[in-house]
Amino acid sequence: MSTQNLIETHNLTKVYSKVRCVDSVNMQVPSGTIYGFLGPNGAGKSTTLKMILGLAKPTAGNITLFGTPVNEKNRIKLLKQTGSLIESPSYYGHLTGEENLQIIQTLKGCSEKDIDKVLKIVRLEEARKKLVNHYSLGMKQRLGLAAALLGFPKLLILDEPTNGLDPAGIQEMRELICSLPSEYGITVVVSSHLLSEIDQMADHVGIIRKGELVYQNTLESLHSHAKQQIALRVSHTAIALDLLRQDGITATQEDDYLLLPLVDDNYVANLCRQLVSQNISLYRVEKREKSLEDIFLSLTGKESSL
Amino acid sequence: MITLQMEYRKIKRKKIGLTMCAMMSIQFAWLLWASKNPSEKELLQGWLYNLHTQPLLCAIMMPTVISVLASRLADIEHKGNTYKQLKTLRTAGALYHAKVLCGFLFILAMTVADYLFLLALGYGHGYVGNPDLKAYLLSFVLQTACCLSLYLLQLDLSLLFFNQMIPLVVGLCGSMLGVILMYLKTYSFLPWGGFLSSAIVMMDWNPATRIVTYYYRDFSSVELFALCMIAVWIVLFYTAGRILFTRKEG
Amino acid sequence: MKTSYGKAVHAERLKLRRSPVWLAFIALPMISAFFGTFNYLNNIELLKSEWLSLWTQHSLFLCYFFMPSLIGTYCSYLWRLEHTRHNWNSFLTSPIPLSALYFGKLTHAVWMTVLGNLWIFFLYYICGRLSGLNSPFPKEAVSWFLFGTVGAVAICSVQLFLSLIIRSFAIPIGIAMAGGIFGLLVTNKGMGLRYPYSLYSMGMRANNPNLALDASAHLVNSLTYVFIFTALSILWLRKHEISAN
Repeated sequence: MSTQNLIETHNLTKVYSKVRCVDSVNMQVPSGTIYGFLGPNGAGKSTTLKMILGLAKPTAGNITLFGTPVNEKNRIKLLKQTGSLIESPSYYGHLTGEENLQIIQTLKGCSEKDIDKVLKIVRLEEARKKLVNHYSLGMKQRLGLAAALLGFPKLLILDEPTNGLDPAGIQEMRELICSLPSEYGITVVVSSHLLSEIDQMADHVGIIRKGELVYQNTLESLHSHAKQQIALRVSHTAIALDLLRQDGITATQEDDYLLLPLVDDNYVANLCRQLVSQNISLYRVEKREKSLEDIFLSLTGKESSL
Repeated sequence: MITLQMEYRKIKRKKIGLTMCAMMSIQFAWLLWASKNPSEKELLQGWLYNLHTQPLLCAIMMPTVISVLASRLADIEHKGNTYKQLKTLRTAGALYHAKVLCGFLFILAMTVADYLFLLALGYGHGYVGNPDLKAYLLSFVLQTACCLSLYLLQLDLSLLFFNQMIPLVVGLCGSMLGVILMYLKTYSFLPWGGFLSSAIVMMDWNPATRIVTYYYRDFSSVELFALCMIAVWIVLFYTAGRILFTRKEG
Repeated sequence: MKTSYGKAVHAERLKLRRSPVWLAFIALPMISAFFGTFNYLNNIELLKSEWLSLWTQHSLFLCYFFMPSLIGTYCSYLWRLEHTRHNWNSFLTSPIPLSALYFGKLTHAVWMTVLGNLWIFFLYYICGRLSGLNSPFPKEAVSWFLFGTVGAVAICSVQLFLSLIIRSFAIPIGIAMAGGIFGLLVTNKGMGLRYPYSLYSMGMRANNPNLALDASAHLVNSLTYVFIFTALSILWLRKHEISAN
């Protein structure tokens, strides 16, 4: 077992009334990263995260956190190193924001100074003495994040943290999350149903669809799938390939087509001229585009809502 | 009508009916226990005894039973945080009215069950003669009205406060007052006194001979006024609740 | 360094701030004491046993009907804190053993019940003196208080279990009231010691100060109920997947 991964799940499965909500998921979250957990609503994101936190019990499979198996015996030890915000924020409305944090701080047994720190991080210092019932949804969400941050755990699990926030709030939350690994050494798992959001935060991505993890790798690798390419169909593929090699361009062959990276218009024009001058018939020159969005849709299935 | 249907759909699977049945059965068990092994004299006065005992039991139990019912119906909205959503669908007034109606139907069902039980009890024990149906009907109407006034009060409190402990404690205190008023044997202008000020059969206990006699009450003008208070409470609590609910935000 | 239990109790105390729910424990016994004393003074020619007679008037309705419901209300309140606002997620992911979290709740329920009981006896003493009872305060009251409190702890654990598994605030209170009234019948049949809601009223010798209480049976049965329902509650927290909202 690799010690690089902070979270590892093996064939994690959850069945609710005969429906496999989470189906044999092998999730691997490397230490020190922001892991974006992406999928349409109802794909099984929350259930997976709840199982990691021990809020739901797996029907099959197992989970290791920090290299330790998640079970009844290790529960407390693991929860001590974990902060979480699942679904909507939890709060006691008749208490102030600060009093709410005091409760969590007491239970976590961390320093009282942490309250000031996390209030500053989520910028709720001025509202600390206000009753949470009078908070806006965005403020409650930030309070939830502050509570999760208390004690500065090694792992932070955030389920749709930008839900219900306005655009400015989303931007703010995003910047905050991005700063966590570098500033506090926290590994973050953040779920979302919005690709653009994960694209701006995560460096690792897992995509879940109908309970199955259909993609898991770095964001970079997801992007490489998204490159635009020029597709070429000619009568003599081998000669064309040779020509391209002379120009220092690596092309790949796919079906009858040659796929080359997106080159500029002048080069395409020159290439065509050269091919024609060598008596090669030129059938097709196309620009192929596969956006991140397309990849996401093809992975999650177009019928699912985004 | 649609709003009322919506109300019933919301309480599906909430087992409110079951809860009320359970609480009613306790009341029945109590009545059965209190009236067991009647003597000949008691059989003679049985039908009157029923109408005397029923308001006493109600005074003790109903304030709490009704506070449970009202809290159950109101708390759905607190928990789901649904005020804003609902108000986009219906006017606040209509929503409040539906909640009132929904609870009232529960109350009506309970009261009907109460009086059917009283009749069954009488025939079961073999009380002498037949019940005075007019008196039973009057007693039934008065009890329903009292329950309604208390229900409106409890519904208002349950909707007003997120903390359901407040209305429930008011309900408990109401039951307590019911007990007190029972001992003081007096009419009352308080909503919880309604059951006793509207009791139509009174009891006379002669300490010397230890003989109990039941008789139809001749309402004095003050007692009639106390009776009118039930209607006043209904109007007052309904109006207040409607206004409060309309003004409520979130 | 606080123990897990200490942390849980402290956290519960923080949650109970700003909600004057204890007022109910002040108000209800006051109504009962006021009325009981009034009734005692009105029937003084029939009630000749002074302090003991006064106790019958103070305790009857309070112990059978109202304290069980009031305890039920408080237990419902304690769990409602978690049943609302998605608090289960945060409650169940705090790094504290579930049993400690449960005992945090039980401690507060018991604490409030003890205070309520002390208040009942304080009112009894004051009302007695104000009614002109000059004879010494009955020593038996210590036993009433102790056994009453033990019985109340049994009710606490039953009600905490009910309010844990039933999300409704009101239904467990309805059960408590029904339970208390049913206790009247059960006690009358002589089976009060086997029934949790009667353990309180019997311990308090409600309406019957001369009752010869089988002390060991009372203690054993009370503690058995506490043990069973505590185990059930902790088991429920462990095994049942409680979802927020």
